[in-house]
Amino acid sequence: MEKNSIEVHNLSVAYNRIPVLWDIDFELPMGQIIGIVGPNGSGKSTLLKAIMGLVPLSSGFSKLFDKNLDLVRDRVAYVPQRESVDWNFPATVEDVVRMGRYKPGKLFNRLSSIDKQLASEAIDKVKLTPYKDRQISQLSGGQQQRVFLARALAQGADMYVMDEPFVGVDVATEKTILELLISMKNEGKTVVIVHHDLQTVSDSFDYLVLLNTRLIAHGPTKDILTEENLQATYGGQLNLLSKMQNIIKDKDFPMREKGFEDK
Amino acid sequence: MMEVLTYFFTDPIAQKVILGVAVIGGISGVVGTFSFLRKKTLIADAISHSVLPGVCIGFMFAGTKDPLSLMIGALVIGWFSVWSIDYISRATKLSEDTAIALVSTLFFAKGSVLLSIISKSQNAEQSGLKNFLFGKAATMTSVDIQVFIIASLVILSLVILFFKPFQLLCFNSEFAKTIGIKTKRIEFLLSSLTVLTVAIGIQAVGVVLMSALLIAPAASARYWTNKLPLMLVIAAIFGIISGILGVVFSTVKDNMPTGPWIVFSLFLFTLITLIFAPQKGWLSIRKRTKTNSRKIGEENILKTMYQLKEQGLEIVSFRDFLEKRAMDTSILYLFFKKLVKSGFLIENENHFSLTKIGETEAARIIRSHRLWELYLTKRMNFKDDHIHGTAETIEHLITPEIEKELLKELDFPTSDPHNKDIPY
Repeated sequence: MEKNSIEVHNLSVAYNRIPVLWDIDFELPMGQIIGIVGPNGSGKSTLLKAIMGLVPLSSGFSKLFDKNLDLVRDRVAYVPQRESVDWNFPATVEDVVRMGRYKPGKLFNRLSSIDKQLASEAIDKVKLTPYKDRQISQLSGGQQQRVFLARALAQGADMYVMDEPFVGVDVATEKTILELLISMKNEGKTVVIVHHDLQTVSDSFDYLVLLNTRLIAHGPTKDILTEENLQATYGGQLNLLSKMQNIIKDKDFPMREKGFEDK
Repeated sequence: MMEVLTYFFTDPIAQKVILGVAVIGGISGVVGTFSFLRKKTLIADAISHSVLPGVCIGFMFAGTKDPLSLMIGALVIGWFSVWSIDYISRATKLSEDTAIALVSTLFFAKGSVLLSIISKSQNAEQSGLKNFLFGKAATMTSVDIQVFIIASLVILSLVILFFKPFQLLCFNSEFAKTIGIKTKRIEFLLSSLTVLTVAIGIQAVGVVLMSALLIAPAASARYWTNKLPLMLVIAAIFGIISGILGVVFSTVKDNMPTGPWIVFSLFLFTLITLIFAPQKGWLSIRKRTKTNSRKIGEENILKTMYQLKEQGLEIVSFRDFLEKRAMDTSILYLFFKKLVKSGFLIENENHFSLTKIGETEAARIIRSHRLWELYLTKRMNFKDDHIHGTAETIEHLITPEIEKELLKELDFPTSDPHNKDIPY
């Protein structure tokens, strides 16, 4: 039995040579809805990308289900930010959702009827069945977000990692996503959501990670939501830390000395 | 012109040349589609400029214009240019477009130098190497064409085999990475196919203009379809026809390079596309504008007729009408005729009155107008004297579904903000 859904140890990341995450360290529980929350530029999306192996690490490591990412890729579904792709790409809703059934070992095979079935079920779950043949550029922002969600559902993973799924979506989409999160949790899945704003939807999170280039706090929502923690998260950047970040950038300094080993 | 056509239909050598450019055009359309979708068209341009020194080096090694040596030279140097662009934009603070401009001009300059060294040498084989600048399809030998066909078949099979990873890479490479696809390798393969396509195309099209054959078919094809497989087919067809037309045009007058004529043919397709394409083409946009102004005109007439009837005037002449509402008189008559034809009005010696269905339709438009005015004041806090202008437009756009929602949201109101009745 796995202990943690995600474990992050001493994780530091520099983005365009600027340090954006400093020695992040936490363990996240299984089977909960977990919010990674912080203001703009706090490094939350970078943290997600680091966990998904999309950006190089300056130090530390992360594990998913107590294992290296490569061993559990088929159990983790990643939902990128909606703005990260060009929605003018020639594809229909169904085309994109079926991408969720692509597997590295089976790229040269046609999708099986089971794959197609799973894709249509995923489309149905996000209530896009009437739009399944629609060109993706003709969808609203909320519908596009649901397409991404359906693609992740089609992957049939045990953990869903979502980058800002509530940005720029309509009320109907927000409601659909929230309902889905709860039904995923009831099926024992873990959901990790990067979210910038604690005003909205925060009561849906069971567990919170508060982040602002450094880890502020993490734990069950009710223990974490204190005035002090929120002040630390949203109350501006640490003056000296920002100065050091800029010096590191200007001098092209590495975040870690070569050969230094984290214990 | 006729002689040229009969020449192409009868002469076996000419037919081979045609086959050659058709193959080149088709494969360029397919491979270029991926460059286009990845927004890497500038890199395709850089590759085609950069292969010139490769061709020269290949020639220097072989001492003849052996197609395989030239192709290998082009491949190696073409690949080196892709790597250089990537390296410069990673290792320096220069942006990618600057790196592309630097690399493509530097490599092209190097190629030009090598070309002049070769032309000063005593090698009798060198004549015609200059054709690699602007392309000369007629210089392709049977062996060349055989090599090109085999290479194109290899490229095509790889595109079909790797369709899914290519599609993922173009649409969402981060996602591809998270499901465990080695995106670096797929990128490498795709760049290699682009370099290979350039290598087989430059003899007929020339290094200067080769990028047009990669990019223009894809750019046009995108207008005609929303499906990637179909887009690949359409781009291939555009490439094939442009290639053939280019050869035919360049043969009309002797000794013309093929490349420029292929580019002109491509431009023709682009122009046709911009005019005739569905949805986004010029004609389609124009038609939409026209439909819209007709809808606005006709609905405004019905509405005005209804208002006149409310005031007690049922049988209306043009003069009565224009007194109530100013409209462009040149189209007024036409619109009235259309409304008579569709059964909304009846005409009696240049006097018009609403029919039963005309009245229902007019009431619907007025209802839409007044409901929207109410919505603006209630939901958007508009002042009473600011709502008319917006409602004049929106009244033509409210669908039955939206009307239903409006009625529900406003709780089936009976009068608008100006205290006029809302007709049901």
